[in-house]
Amino acid sequence: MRARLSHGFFRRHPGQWLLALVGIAAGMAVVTGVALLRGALVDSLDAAADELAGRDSIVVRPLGESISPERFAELARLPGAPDWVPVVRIPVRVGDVQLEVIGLDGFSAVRDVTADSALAGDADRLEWTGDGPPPAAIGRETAALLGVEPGETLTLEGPNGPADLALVGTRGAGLDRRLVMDIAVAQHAFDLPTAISELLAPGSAAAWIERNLPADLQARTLDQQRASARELTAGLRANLTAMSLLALATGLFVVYSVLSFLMVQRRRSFGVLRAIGLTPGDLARMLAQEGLVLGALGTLAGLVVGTLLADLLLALIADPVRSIYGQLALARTAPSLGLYGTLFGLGVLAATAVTLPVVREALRVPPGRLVRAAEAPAPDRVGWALAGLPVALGLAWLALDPGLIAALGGLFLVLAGLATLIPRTGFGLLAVLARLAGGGLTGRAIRLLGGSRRRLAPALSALSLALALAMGMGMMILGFRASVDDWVQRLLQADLYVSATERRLTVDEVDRLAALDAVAAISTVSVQRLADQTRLTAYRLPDAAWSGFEWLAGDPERVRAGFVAGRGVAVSEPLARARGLAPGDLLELPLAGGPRRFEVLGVFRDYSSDAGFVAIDADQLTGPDAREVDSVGLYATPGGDRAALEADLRAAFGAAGELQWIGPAEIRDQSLSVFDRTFRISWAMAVLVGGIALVALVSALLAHGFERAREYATLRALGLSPAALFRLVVAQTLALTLAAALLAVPIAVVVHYALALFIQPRAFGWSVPAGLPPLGPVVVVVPLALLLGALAGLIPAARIGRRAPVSALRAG
Amino acid sequence: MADPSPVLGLRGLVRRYGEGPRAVRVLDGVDLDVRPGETVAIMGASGCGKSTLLHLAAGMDRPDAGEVRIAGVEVHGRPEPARTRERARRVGLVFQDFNLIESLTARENVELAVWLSGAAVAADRIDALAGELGIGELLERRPDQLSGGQQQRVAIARALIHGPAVLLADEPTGSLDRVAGEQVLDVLFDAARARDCALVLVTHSDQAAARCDRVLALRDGRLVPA
Repeated sequence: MRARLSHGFFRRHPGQWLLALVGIAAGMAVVTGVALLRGALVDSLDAAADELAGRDSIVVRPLGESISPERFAELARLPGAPDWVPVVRIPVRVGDVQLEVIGLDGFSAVRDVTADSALAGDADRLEWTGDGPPPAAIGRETAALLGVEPGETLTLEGPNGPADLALVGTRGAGLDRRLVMDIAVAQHAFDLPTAISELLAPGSAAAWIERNLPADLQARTLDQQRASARELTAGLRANLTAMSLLALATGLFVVYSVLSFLMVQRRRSFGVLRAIGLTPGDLARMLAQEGLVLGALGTLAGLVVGTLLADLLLALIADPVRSIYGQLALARTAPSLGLYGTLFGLGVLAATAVTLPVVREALRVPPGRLVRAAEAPAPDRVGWALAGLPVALGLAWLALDPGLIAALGGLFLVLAGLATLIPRTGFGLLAVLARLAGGGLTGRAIRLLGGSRRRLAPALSALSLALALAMGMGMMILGFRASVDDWVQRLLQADLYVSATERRLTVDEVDRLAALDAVAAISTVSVQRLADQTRLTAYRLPDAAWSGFEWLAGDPERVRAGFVAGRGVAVSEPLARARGLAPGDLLELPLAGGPRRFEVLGVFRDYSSDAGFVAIDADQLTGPDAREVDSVGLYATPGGDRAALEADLRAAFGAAGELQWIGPAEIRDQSLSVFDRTFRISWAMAVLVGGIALVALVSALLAHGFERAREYATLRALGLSPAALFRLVVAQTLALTLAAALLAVPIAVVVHYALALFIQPRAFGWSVPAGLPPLGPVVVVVPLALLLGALAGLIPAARIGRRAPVSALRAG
Repeated sequence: MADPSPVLGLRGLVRRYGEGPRAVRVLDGVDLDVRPGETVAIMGASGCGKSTLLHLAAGMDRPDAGEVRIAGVEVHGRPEPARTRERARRVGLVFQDFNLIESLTARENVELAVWLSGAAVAADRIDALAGELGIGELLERRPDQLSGGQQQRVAIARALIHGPAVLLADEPTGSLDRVAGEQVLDVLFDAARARDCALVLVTHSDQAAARCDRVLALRDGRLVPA
C-alpha cells in the first residue's frame, strides 16, 4: 500500500521526480567521470613505470645527461656486477606527434628484467643485418595514431636529423607513443653512437647496487618510480576529486530542493494519512523507500552518463598530462564492478541522507493537518549559530592543518555554513528588490515570494552555491592565468633566448654568443637532476635579469649578494612548500663532487613545475660538464633590438639550424598555451558544476512554479489577467535568480581565494598573488543565469497562464 | 417604481463536460437575474453544477451557450483578459476554503483586490472595513496565524473592498464549524446589505439559504424555486 501511495504521487508529478533524478544523476555523473579519470591516470603512470622494466627490476640513471660507454664498461667489470641492460631513450617526432624511441640491448638479459613485458618476445625480431631500414617495434595504438601498419617504413625526425625505420608489430603493453629498437641499431640510426640513458638490473641485484653504485648514479626500484610518478599527479587528482565532490554536493542540493517542494505538496496527504491511521513509522518508511528508489535510479543514470563523460574528460586531460608529466600515453578508462559498486553505494547513501531532513519534516505533520505549515523561521540566535559553527570549524581546520585534505574539508565546512546564511540574506535582498520595484506588478510579485521562506530556502541556497562554485572556479583559473602571464613576462628579461637542438650549448658557443656585437650581456641557465631527484638550475645572471625574480621570502638585496658570492641558494615556491624550507634553513644537495650544504637565501615565485627547483650560482658547480648550459639569454646593446641580435646570430652561426632562438613574446605565448591546455580540465569541471547549477536553477524555479499553482489560480480568480500572471511568474523567477546570483558573487570570491590561496598551493605548491579576483566569470554567469531564470519561469508561467483558474483551484 | 437593472443576468446558460454521446450537460438553460442588494441562495445535490454555475457567473469559465451579463456588461463572449478585468472590477468572490495568499498578511490580501480592480480606495477604508467585519486587530497577521472564521472574514473583506456589484460565495461556511459559520454569514449578509451589493450564495445549508431573499435549486441543469 505504501508503494502504491508513492507510485500514485510519482505518477501525478513526474516532472518533479524527474528533476530530482536529474540532480543526483548530474552530480554522480561528474563523480563517476572523475573517478574513472583518476583510475586511468594512475594506470597510465603505473604502465609508464612498468612498460620497460619488469616488476622486480631496478633502474639506474645518471645524474648528468647520459652514461658514457666507458662508464658502462667500468660498471660491468666490477666484481659481482649484475647483468646490466643498457637503454637509450631518444625523443623523436612524426609531424606534430611526439614519440620516444627506446633502444634496448637485445643480447643481454632482457628477459630477466622485462619479465612482465611483451617486449622480451620482440628482442629477436629487432636484430638488423644492415639491409634496408633498421627495424623498430611499434604498438597497435601508436601505429593507428600515425596511420601506419607493421611492415611499412616510417620516417622519424630525430635529434640529429631524420631516420627511416622498418616497423615490426608488437603486443607490448605501455608502448603507446613509443617505438622499441635494439640499442646499437638505435644509436646508429639516430647518430648517437655513445648515448646510454639508463641501465636496468634485476631486483636480486639490489644489495650489490646499494653497496657499489657510484655517487653520480642513482638507483630506483619500480615501486619508487611508481610512487614518484603518482606523486607527480597527486595534486591534480586531489583537485579533480574535490571539484567532483563539489559537483555532487551541488547535485544533492538540487535533490533536497525538489524533495522539499514535494514535501510541501504532500503535506495535506500526510495529514490525512496520519489522521486515518498511518503511523509515523509507516510514513518514515514510505519516504525512506522513495529516497532509496530515487537515489538508486539517479545514481544508475549518473554511472552511465559518468562513464561516457570520463572519455571526454580523458581527451581533455591527455595533452597536458603528456606535456607536463612526461611522455606517456594515457590508459583507457577501466570501469570495474568494484568501482561501480562503491560509487553506487555513495550515490544512494548521499541521496538517502538528503531525504532525512524531509522525512523529519513529514513526521512533524500532525494528523488531520489540512492547511499548509506555518512558516516557522529559526530564531536568529540559532540561525547564526548554525551558520557560524561550521564556518568557524572550517576556518580552524584550514588554519591549523596545513594539508590538502584540511583545505578541502575546511572549504566544504565554510560553504556549508554560508549555505545556511543564504536564505536569511537572500530574503533580505528580495525585500530590497521589492522596495526598489515599487508598488506595481513586479514589486508585488517579489513581495509574494517573501512569505515562502522555508519552501524557497533550499532552492536559494542550492542556486547560490552552485553559481558561486562555477564562478569561483572560473575566477581562480583566470586569476591564476593572469598570475602566470605576469610571472612569465617578469621572468623573461632578455631580448632573445638561444639553445641547441637536443644538446647543450658548449663553452665555446656561449663565449661566441657573449662576444656578438649586438649583445650587451648574457644570462645562462643549466638544468640538472640530482640523485635525490631535486632539480638544480645553475644561473649566471647579469644585473638586468635579477628583476625577473619575484621574492616571496628573503630580502632581495641580501639574496642577490649571497647568491653571487656562493653563500647560499634560492629555492622556488613549490620546493619550499614541499620541503618546508624558509630563508636561513640549510639545504644539502648531492652534487657531483659530493654532498654540500647551502643556506636557503630566499624563496621565489615559480609556476614552471609543481616539483620546484633549487637555483644556484653557476660558479658553484664543478666538473667537466659544469660550463655547458641549456640556454643563453641575450640582452641587446642600448638602442639595439631583436632584429639586430638575430642578424648577428645568423652571421655567426649560419642558418643551418645549429642553434635555435626564441623571443620572450613567443615563450609567453607558449607558456600560456601550456597553461590553457593544463587548465582545460578545470574549465571542464567549472562548466560541469555550472551545468548542474543551471539544472538546480531550472528545477528550483519549475518546482516553485508548480508548487504555487493554487496561489496563482486564486490570483487569476480575483482578476489577475493571464498576461499579468505570466509577467508575475517571470518577475518572481527572475528576482529569485537575481538574489541567488548576487549572493553567489561574494561566495564565489571566497571560493576563488580558498582555491587560489589554500588549495592550489597545497596541491601544487603554487600560490597566486592575492589581488582582486577577475570578474569575467561574473559577467558571463550572472546574465546567463538570469536568462535561464527567465526561461525557466516561462514554462510554469505559460502552463499556469493557459490553465483555467477553475481547474487550478480544484486541483489545489 | 421599475425594477432596477439586474447586476447579474444569466440567459439560457449551457455547460457540457465531455464530448459526443458521453457528454454530460451540467447546465442546461439556466436563467437568472439578480438585482442590486438582492440575496439569492442556490442549492442542490453535490455535483449538480452549482459551483460550475458560479464560475460561469464570475467569468472564470465560458458557457457552451447562453449569456452572462455583469452590471449590464456582456461577459460570456469576451476574451479572457476582458472577462478577467470585469471580474476584478465588478465581482467579489468568496471561496469555501478561503484561498488567501499565504505569503501575504491579511491587510495585503485585502489590498490585492484593490490593486487588481484598479479601484481608488483610501487606505483607511481597509481598516474601516476590517473593523466592520471584526478583524481590525488581525490585519497584520498571516493566514496561518488566523482561525478558519477569521480567514473567511479576511476573504470577505477582500471580496468587498473594491465595491463589487455582486458577491459570489461558494459554500463560504463549508470549512467552518456551526458557530463560526453563523458568524461569518452574519458578517457576509450585513456587509452586502450595507453596500447594496447583490449576493449569490451557493450552499448546502438550509439555515444559510433561509437568510436569502430567494432560494433556488439547481435540478437537471436548470434553476427552479426550492
